[in-house]
Amino acid sequence: MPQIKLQSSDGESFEIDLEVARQSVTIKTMLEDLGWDESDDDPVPLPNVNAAILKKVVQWATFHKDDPPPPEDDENKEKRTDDICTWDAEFLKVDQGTLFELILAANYLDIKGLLDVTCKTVANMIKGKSPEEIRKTFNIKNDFTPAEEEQMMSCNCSATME
Amino acid sequence: MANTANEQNDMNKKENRKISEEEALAYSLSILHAHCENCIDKFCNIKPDGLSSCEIIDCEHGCGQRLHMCLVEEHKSWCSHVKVSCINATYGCRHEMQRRKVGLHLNACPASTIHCTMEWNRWPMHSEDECIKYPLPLHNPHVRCGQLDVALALRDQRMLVESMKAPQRTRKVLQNSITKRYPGVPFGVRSSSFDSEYPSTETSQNASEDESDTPWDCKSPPGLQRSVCSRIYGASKQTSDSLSAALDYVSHHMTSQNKHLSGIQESEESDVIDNGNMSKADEMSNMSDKSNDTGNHGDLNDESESDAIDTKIKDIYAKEVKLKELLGVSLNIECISKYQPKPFKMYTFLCAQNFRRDEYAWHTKNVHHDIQCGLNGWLQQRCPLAYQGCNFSVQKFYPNNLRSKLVHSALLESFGLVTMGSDVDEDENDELSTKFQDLTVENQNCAEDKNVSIEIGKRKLREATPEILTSQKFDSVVKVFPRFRRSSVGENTQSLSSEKECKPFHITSFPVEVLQHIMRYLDGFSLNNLSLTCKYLRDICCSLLDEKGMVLQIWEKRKINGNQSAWQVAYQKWCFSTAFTPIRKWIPRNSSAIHSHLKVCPYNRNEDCNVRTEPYQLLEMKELHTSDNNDKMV
Repeated sequence: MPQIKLQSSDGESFEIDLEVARQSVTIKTMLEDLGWDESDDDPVPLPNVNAAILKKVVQWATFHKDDPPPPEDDENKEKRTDDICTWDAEFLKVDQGTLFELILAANYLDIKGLLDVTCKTVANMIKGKSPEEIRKTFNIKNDFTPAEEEQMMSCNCSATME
Repeated sequence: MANTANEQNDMNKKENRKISEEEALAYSLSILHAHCENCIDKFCNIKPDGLSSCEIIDCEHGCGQRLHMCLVEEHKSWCSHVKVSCINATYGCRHEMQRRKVGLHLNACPASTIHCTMEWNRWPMHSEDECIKYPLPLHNPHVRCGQLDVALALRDQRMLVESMKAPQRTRKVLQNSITKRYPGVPFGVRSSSFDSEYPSTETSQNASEDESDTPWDCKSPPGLQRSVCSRIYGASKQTSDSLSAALDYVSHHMTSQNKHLSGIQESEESDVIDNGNMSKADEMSNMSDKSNDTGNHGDLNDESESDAIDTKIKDIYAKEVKLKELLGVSLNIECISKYQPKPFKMYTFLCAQNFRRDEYAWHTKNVHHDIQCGLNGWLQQRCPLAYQGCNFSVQKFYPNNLRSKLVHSALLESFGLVTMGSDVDEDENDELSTKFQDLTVENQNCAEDKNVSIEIGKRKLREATPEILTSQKFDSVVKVFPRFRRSSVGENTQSLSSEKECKPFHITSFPVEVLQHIMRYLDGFSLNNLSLTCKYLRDICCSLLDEKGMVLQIWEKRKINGNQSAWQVAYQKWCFSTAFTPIRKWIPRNSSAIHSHLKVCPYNRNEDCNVRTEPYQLLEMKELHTSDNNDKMV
């Protein structure tokens, strides 16, 4: 099986199967556009991903390399967050910083499956919590003035556009 | 090569131009050719002569239809691939889609909303001898608690209290032959709107200049009437605020003097009982008169005095308060059909929330069918000694999976579904295996929860421990802490900003599309909460309103042609509904919780029960024995 080298932002390189790497649309298009062939030995630079995160991404991609391609997004399809498989749930038991960096990496590398599952995990962290609890979870600073807050509450409408 | 290609392009352009000229001619004359008018043949091979027929072309929208060119315009009105706006466009839906997708879209159309009219009833709270009704606490207790039935009862009570602020006229209008005394609450419109609509003359005289904190600012269609309304509203609100503060103080002062209060109660109640025919409206007006009286006092007070009242309230709430001082309606929900006359003293409550069509089915199923019907013992089971004052309760089912938990948000007046972190999951699994730990684990969780402050409107923000009592005796106590907005906000922001510095990455630094991707996984309940966290996230939530929100028509009575008035749509309001993730299945929880609780329940004491401690004989066993023997002998 052909191998490809990926180089993280801090210079570490990973040698992985081409099929695994092609799950990333970014890498896939890069290879197609550059006309990559097996004899090439130059690593593919990924300046936005550091070694620790890239390692996690490769781990995820290796596990999911035989997955069928994810179905197209359907607007009318209900989006569920409770369908994260057990391996993924275990895989994503990481601290918040790592989770966020995984999301950024998945977004940059354009790996839909990984982006979906990480976003679902964050969505689960938000679901059902009160504003104060959400602020606590994510360290969000409340930048509403008391008057604005009062107004939002008294309208009893949380998001309003006119 | 390049030359020929260019030539071809030119040819095509020429043809196109020719066609478009012809088209324009045909349209301008709006003539259908004699042949084309009735021709439905896709492969019609008649030679176009420009007089009786024209060319056959493919539908430009890709529906696969081939037709004569002069029919194109007509075809557009039924082509399945033409982009049309939603049929609810006049109601605010801004979606545009291919005609064939309209049907699918209608299910999730933001302008296709349903107002939930579900009704339920509660008895007013009676004291031990069952004839004396507890007076409804006039302040709105915003209490945070872990027990769903208490939370719902408090929600209902808030609605009830709010409805009492409505003018008598409104209440009278809403009374009918089925609910003679108490019309269903909430009244659909928030009390603020009718407050301003029928201002009492008293308050209007005191109108102040300050309208900065009226909710009208955000609703804001300009106009003379509106501005007058907002001024009146602002003034009346100010008065009522200071009033309720004073009232709170007075009522609690009174509760502390038990004898005094009970005396008053009795006298009040005996009045009511004597004049059985006296309508509730009269009773209410009595109450509101009283509040007006106290209110005037409050109004006269200057600021320093109101501060004094604040601190006194603080003192009062820092103490433990019994739930009977907070709750004036029964915890048990009665379901009497909407079309059936209700007992005279019973309160009626309405759900009165709006949902999108696709959310409504799950809302009725989960909230009204599963949760509300289960609160009286099925979904949430109380300790059998609740009547003695034990407030232990256990939820007998997990919603959806082991990691979910039901909550009630006083902020949104709605139930919601929380997904717990993975840690809790493990805890809960342990809980399943080691049955006895159950209670303590759950109590710990609750204890952690209660540290989170919830901040709601107004300044009278209170928070209670989850251990709220629910027996009829109301011996147990609730701890209520005051939260005063300004100070608490200041503290929060400080602590957060200091923590923030050491955090490397923040959720708000995600690219917008990633945040939107995350938010697409959220339900309306969570989006509502998320949009209250900070400005940036609120903006992004608002960008999803078209996709996940709904649009409501806000009606307003306006004067037209001088004296006549009519109801008109004042503006359209976009918001998220309070629907939460559908609960498709309920997983039974470890059923031995109550069992193991009883072993440690402080109310489960032998001396109080009719349990004999010394052994005694059940029957005259000897005699039986001998008679048996006698039978055998015979």
